[in-house]
Amino acid sequence: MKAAIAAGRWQRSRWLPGLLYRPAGSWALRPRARALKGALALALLGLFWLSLLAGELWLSSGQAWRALAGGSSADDAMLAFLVIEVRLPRALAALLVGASLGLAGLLLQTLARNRLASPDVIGVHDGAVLALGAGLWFSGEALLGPWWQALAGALLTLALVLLCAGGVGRQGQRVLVVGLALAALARAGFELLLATVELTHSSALYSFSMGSLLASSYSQLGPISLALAAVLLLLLPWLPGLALLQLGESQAQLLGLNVGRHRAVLLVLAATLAGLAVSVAGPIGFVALLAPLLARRWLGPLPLLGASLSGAGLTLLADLLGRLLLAPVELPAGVLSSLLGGPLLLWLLLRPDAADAADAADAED
Amino acid sequence: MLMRTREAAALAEEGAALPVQELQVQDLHAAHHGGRGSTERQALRGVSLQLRRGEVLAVVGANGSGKSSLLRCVAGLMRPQRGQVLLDGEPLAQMPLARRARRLALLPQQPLAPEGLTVAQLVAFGRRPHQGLWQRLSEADEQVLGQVLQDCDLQELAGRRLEQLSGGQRQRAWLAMVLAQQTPWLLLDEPTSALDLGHSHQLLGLVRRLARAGRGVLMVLHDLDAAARHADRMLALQDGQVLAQGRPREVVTPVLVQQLYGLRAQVLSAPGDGAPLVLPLADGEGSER
Repeated sequence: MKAAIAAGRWQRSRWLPGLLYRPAGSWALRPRARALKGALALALLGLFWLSLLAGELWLSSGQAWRALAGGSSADDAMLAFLVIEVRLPRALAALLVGASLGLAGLLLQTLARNRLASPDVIGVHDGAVLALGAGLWFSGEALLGPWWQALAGALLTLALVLLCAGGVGRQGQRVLVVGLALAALARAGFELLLATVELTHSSALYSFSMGSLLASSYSQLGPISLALAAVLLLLLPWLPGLALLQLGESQAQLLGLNVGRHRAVLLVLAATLAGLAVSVAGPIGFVALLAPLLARRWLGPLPLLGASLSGAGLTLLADLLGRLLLAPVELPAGVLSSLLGGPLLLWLLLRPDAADAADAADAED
Repeated sequence: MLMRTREAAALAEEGAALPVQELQVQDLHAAHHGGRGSTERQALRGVSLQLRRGEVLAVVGANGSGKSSLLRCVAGLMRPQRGQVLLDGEPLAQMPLARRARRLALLPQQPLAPEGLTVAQLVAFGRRPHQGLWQRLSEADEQVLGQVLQDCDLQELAGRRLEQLSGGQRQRAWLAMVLAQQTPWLLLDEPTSALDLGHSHQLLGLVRRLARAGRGVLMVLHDLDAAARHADRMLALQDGQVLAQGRPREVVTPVLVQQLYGLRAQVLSAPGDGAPLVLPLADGEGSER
């Protein structure tokens, strides 16, 4: 990199710290942010590996590697089953769910211009759970309905929230308040369903509503990861517009953005991400709220990759701790994420530096 | 100096081939839709104006007289019920948004900054209309950044986060962002409302210089004296209608001040440049005259 700068191919920006550009115009490079993201990805990889080793039966790295590579002894076959059929799909599910929750949270927070407006807060999660519950109630079967029911529930809830709030609004407070009300309503509807279905059904439904990765399997992961890949591809061309929307709708339009179309597409994609995540693991709270806040602390105002990575990390951590803390009893990841997330959120919101400085500057005027 | 000439060249390029280089507002009618349930409030009732490049037009009027609505209509943020805006002879309503963004920029009254952006990052957004979809920065962009940061006296603050700034500093940061768009037409909604006297004077001087370099500036000012001093022409709005329009010395009269603000005042001539100065009279004073 230094050589490229010396040769004049890349210039260091004087005004935008840590940013490199080509004099003729190009993608910008941020070496430091890139290194941070690399470190985050490495930490995530470590966590991923740990979640293959950890559990009631602790494996050594060597054992896990032999299991993955396909050893020959009978012992290896048993381990292979444990690693490949039980722990690997679970860890993969945690990655997918966490990454999409983190990204969904960042998108919604940015679009609503409010850092509390994440899908779990404004009722998208609860709507998805309610839709699955309703599907079960109507079908009368003991198994949870297909994954697209949660997706439909998520999209429907977001549409309802926006309709009642009359748009996103200047700082998203309306969306937040309306979303909180609808979330409470959806939860009440779900409790009502829970009380009316048969006992065998209600237990499956209830454990799903806690948010757990216990039931992850490849048959479930296949279609979901395809859907996620599709969403990410669709998202790509709209990302430059997302950055402009940070400045508010009027300014974004004045800078040449078709605001209505961008906002609609991005909202639908954000709800889709959240809905897909809920359909895999149930409503794992706090991840969508916290991952973007954490990533924003170190990676600037719109950390797309950072929010995904930290979302995946938080979810893996919640699942891992849920497995270990009271072993052999398992705690659902949703419970652990709330246990972790509550204090973390308090710390982020109450820490004395940035937020207070802003308030003080406001008070000055 | 190099930048100035290059900027002038860029401005000349932007719509240089057009036969008309004028901002025309014709018989504009517009209303606010104040949310659901509430009735419409008529904001503009037939406003017409013309602005040439190189000219500063200041819009004055009491609170709620339709000044901001006029600017929002000209910027295309508010849809007029009747009448139209012509930008260099071309109807604004039919102009693609991307082209609009290279021709016209608006500094709104209370822009909201996203959390965590630095001043320079905000200003860099102003270059977006000139960049490709994924392109972020070129040497020319970097030059413009440096120029507008200097123009707005923000060089020391370039790396600071917006939420750590005072209201006036933030207002200058937004102005720098708008200037970085390098549009031939500039709309400013009370650009000095949060500024101290020094910075306010400096900014209005900058606006004049920008106009001399070939831009047309339409700005709303609440300060009648400042408007009279720094604008080439003034337009007084009352209840969404044009009350008076012309050179500051013709527009700013005791009669107009009385009509606009219900205030009895004397209009003096400033010692230096002869610009009109409004001196409100105390109660009872002046009735003897």
